[in-house]
Amino acid sequence: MVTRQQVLSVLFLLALCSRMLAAGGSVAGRVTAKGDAEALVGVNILLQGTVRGTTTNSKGEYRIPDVPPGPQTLVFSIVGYQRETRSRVVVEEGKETMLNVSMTQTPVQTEQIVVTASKRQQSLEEVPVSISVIDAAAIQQRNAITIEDALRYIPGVNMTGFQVNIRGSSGYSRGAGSRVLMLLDGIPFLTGDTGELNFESIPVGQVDRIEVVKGASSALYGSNALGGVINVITKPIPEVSETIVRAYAGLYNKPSYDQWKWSDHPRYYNGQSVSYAHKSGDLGIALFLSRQFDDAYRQNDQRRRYNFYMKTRQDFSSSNSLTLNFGLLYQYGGQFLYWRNLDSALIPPAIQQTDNVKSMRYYASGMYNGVLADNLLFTAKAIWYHNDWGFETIHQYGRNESLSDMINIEASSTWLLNRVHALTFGLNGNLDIIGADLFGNHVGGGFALYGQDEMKLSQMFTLTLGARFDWQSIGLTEPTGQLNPKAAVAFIPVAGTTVRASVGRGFRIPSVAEAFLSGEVSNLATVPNKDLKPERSLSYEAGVSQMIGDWGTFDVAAFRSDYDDLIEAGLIVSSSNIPYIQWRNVTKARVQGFETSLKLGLFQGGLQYSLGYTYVYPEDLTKNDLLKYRPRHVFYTNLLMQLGWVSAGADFRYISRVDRIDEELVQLGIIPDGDERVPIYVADFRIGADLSFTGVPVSVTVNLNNAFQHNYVELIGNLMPPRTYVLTLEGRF
Amino acid sequence: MNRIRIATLLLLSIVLLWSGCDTGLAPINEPSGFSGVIRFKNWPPPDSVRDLRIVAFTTYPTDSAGILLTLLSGNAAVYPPNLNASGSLPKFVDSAPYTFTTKDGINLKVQQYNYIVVAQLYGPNSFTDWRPAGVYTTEPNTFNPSPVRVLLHRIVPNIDIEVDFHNPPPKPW
Repeated sequence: MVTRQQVLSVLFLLALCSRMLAAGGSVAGRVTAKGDAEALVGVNILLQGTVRGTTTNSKGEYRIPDVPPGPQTLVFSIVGYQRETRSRVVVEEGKETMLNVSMTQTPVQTEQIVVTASKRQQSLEEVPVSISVIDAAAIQQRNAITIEDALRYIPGVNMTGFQVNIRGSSGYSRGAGSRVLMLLDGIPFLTGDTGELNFESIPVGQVDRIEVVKGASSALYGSNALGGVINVITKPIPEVSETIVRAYAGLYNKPSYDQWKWSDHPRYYNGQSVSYAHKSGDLGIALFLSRQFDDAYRQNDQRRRYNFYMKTRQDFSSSNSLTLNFGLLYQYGGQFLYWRNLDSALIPPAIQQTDNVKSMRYYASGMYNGVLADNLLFTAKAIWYHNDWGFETIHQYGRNESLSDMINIEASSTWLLNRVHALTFGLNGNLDIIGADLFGNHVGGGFALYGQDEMKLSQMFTLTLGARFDWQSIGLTEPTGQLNPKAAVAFIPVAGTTVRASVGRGFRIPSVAEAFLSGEVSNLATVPNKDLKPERSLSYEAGVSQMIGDWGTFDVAAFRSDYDDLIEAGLIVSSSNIPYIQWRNVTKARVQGFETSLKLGLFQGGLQYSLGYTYVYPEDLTKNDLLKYRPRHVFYTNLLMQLGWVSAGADFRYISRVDRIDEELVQLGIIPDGDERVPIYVADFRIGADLSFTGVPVSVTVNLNNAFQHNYVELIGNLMPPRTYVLTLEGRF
Repeated sequence: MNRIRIATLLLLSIVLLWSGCDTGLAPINEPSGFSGVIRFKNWPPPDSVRDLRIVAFTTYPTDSAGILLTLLSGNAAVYPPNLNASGSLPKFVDSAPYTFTTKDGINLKVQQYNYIVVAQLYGPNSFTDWRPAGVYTTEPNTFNPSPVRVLLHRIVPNIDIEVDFHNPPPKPW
């Protein structure tokens, strides 16, 4: 049994080891914006050729201690500014070298730093895979209540209900299993029982940015990263104490047709949150508390949600830190699975009208970062994620409950071997403990080893080779071992142009829900299948990213994924002629297409415009048909204007009508009018004002979502919200 | 040239925005139900035919509590919907065509009904004095009930019911 003292001793020794390795001088200074000399906060400063770096504080100041003597190169980067490189900065033993830098603003968002593509900090333009980033400002402007609201605006991503589909990788699996891996600060964050993404557990107010890697990423992340990875990165604890109070109130417009009205009262939703962050010396703490009430625009779809979140960070030295997180979600509400029929689109069938769901989910995670040598970074991460949810379907089952615990531990290192090789390697272990009325009692787990070498063969050419071996068992007939290799190249022929190509394998272990669900889904019996095998993919991508002067970027990519043993829930008729649902390895499939995106920054960044278009052709090669729930065209565009203290924005998304759905659910009369669906056209508008110039640190935003009240479904039998009006107030103190 | 491209993109975006004015899905408003003709024979005296209704049961009613409780429990549907005596099916006629739909009846749902009758109120107590006067069957000269599945947005035709007041079907409740 490892005691607390032993853990602290190890951490102390690691910190001591790091200090013993440290020697030399230091570099310090201030970073400002060119022109108005305004201090820049959060600038990333990297000592080139090492894993050492820092960020500027609230005064724009920075200090990197223990820098080896001799000439050094420092790289300064932050979103919205041109990268600055300072070469031949002379550092002397025992002395501090002063280096002030001023950075030039660029109208488009460049120099984004991402961490998901290679498990280490990289400039977005150097990444050899397609990756999109949505930052806290964009999330806040849209008044996203949960993470999935924010994901709806990322090119190549669309939602089917609460499930994420990246470039056609996923359809709809009834909440069981996900072909997209979600990470919270780089740590796997899928539920242990259903293996799904639970967005509600992460308070949006604490999100710094969301990175979305498109395409198979199992060579670094293992199971579930078949279609891509969503990494939710929480906000750092600010240097200066900060209290943020936020409240919003929303109103659903009345339904488009009188016969859809089911309530005489207006339907509202509202939420309040308060967060506090404080740093005292080397110890920082952030607390967040929120409540959200939603009357719902559909009958028996109401929600009450409470979130608590805490983050602490202890800096043992400038290069060693320990971060601990705790999050808790309590939620209860009704359940709306599908409509009664299109004439009563906002009312569930009578049998669902008393269904309710209650969830208590919490997690504790920790991450230790230590610079063991100038070129060697060590990271250890762990999470315990507990899920307890249950539902009552009064008419049929009594209460069903599922308890699950997911534990994941990972140790990894980044080793900058020399100017050519950057190695990333690590090992991972996981354990899932499930006790559920619907799935039974199961204990599963496994381990993984992975390694990757990024070879900078020249200034223009980087080759990345990597592989990961996973061994997993969840109690299926055969435990699974899987080797997932990948190769990627990034070629920068001239500054501003990046050509990339990659090939990699992906795989996904079936979730406990898919293998062992025994009960009823959509009024049909489900039968477990212990013979399920993992599904596998081989993905290819090639793309070009091009800067357009200093006011735009353009990206185009072609992609293809070949899937084997794709797991799909299918309707099967037994020998006694009784239909039932079972998850089986039934399909060989191919998804291919292309994606383009454009970002423009005009009038010195006062006008930001972006668009993204993705074409997907999702073939079911076994049935010679199209895959279910995959739209072939996904188009997004948005416009953001900033005029002094006023900002305004507009978003529009078009998603083509999906070609195929679960037709059998309609043919059997289970979901009446379930085949009624249309292309999706949704326009959202917003206007905001930052009143801090008046001396009152308050901002006001008004959102008008689904402004043209387009009535559409993402998921069979589920009408999406009508026009909504939202007023948000935020105060920062 | 670049400005023209930008203007084109902005214009395209605005056009797409306005195309969102299409309201998308709408109610279908096609009723569901069944229709047919009721043929009457051997009318009794008026004081023993106080009311006539078509009642569709999901299951064969054996509940002694009778039609009303079955109706209240949601397992039966009634036509015509006006429950006053004036809302009865036509009386003392040879035949009466009808269309019993989700819009023109009480409680009719898209599901299967296994026992469909013309119910007769033969006495003064409107809670208890009901009996079947005719039953829907596809087997001539029998009282074996035949099922009818109400399909979404469709009117199932030819659900004809013979009512012979001298030869009523057995009373199940």
